[in-house]
Amino acid sequence: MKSILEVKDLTIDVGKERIIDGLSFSLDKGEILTILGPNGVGKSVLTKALLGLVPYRGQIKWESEMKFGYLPQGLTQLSLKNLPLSVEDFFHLKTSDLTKIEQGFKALGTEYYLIKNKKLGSLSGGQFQKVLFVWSNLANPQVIVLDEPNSNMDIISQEKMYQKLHQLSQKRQVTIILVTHDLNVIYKYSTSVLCLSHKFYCSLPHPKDIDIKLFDKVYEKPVRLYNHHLKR
Amino acid sequence: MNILLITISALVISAVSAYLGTIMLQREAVLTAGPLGHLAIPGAALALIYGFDVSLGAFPFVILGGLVIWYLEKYTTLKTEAITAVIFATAVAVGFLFLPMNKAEAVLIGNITGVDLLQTGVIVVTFLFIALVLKLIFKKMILITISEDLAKVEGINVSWYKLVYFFLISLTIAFGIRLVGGLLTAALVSIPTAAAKNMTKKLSAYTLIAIIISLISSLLGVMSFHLTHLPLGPLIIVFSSFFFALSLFFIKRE
Repeated sequence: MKSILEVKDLTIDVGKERIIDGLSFSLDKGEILTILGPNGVGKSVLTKALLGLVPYRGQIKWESEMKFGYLPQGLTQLSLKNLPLSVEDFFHLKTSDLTKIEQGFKALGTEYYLIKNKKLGSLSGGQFQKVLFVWSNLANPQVIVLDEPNSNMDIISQEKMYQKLHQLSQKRQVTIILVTHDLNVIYKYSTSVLCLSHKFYCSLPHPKDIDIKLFDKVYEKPVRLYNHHLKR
Repeated sequence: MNILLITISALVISAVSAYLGTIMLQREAVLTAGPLGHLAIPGAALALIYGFDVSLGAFPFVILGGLVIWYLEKYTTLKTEAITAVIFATAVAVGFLFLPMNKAEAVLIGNITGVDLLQTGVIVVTFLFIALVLKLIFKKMILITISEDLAKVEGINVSWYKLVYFFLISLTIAFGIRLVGGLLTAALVSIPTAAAKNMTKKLSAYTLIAIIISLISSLLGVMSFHLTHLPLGPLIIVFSSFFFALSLFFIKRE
């Protein structure tokens, strides 16, 4: 399959600190790439560089002019609490296609009419992330970049979100780049993994074969995966 | 005839200033209108001394002051408030070194009572232009306010939109100084929008309420001016403040 993205010898500095140093990897169309690694290793900075939001050295080459969807980390409803802006107003900044918005929420198990007249800044953390998720895949993007999209969502919504991403990748060949600390996602949905650690980078094409020892190396501490033994 | 021209000028300047204020308040930038109004003082002083239009004198000084603030912000570690305080205090000081005291009132609290047909025409055309551009950039500026990164990913040229927005602020202040003077320009953009914000959580209603409050305040201001001959600019601001006080009874909480 032809690569949609080629990254070669990427170096990113934030202020005087070198965050990413000589990273290279490639990505095929329709893949679900999970970027994982400990805090402060440069996962968010990398996603921003891929979107052209921060300066970098080296090469980031997309196959063509891409249409992106983005769910950023750090944008919270609390930072918007002073804006007189309803959820409906927010979506009208991008589209007036009500059906698409409704379908987006339905895919997450939420009804749009229950939320649309609420003030954006007064939503719960989970509701706000659902709004950003629906926003990110509204205008038929070719690539969706999600930076820790599930940190506030309940488990049902998380699962529905990942199912939706899986469906977008399978049916419409949308390429997904996902930053998450949820290791279960890697085994269940990812088609490739990019590990960023303070000491090394690795790009893995077959996530289901990843050994737990690799996580130990990436996080520089022993990692334990928990099995949930709940039965119906 | 004159009172009709005054009414038209006051209504147009107030309504468009309130419209602009709806973006400025969202960006927590309404107070910048105050210092920018003060930046206009040396230009307005020059215009009064040499007998040309106050707005023509004010406009380049607002732009110049804004550029100096932008430059110092970029190349020093000082915060915007500190830089703005230095620049606007300097501007006021320089303005008053040259401004004859008998003309100070017009610069400080405005004087639109001598406006003629041509000047009214220029005000109407300029503010219709400002309103039109504002309508075009409004949604994008709101998205930039929410998140510059999100806006950039949507393909919005953030720097360009911010520059256009600053140009509109400068133009509004240069003309606003005619109506309410350098001292009260911030009030023109902030009070109706702050009152509107108290009354609604919807963006469209917020803009509409702010414009309606500004129009009613201006109309009441002109009527009071006609009856009392007190200065028009402060009268308009006092009526706006009255509506702000009223809005406190309608505060929308969620």
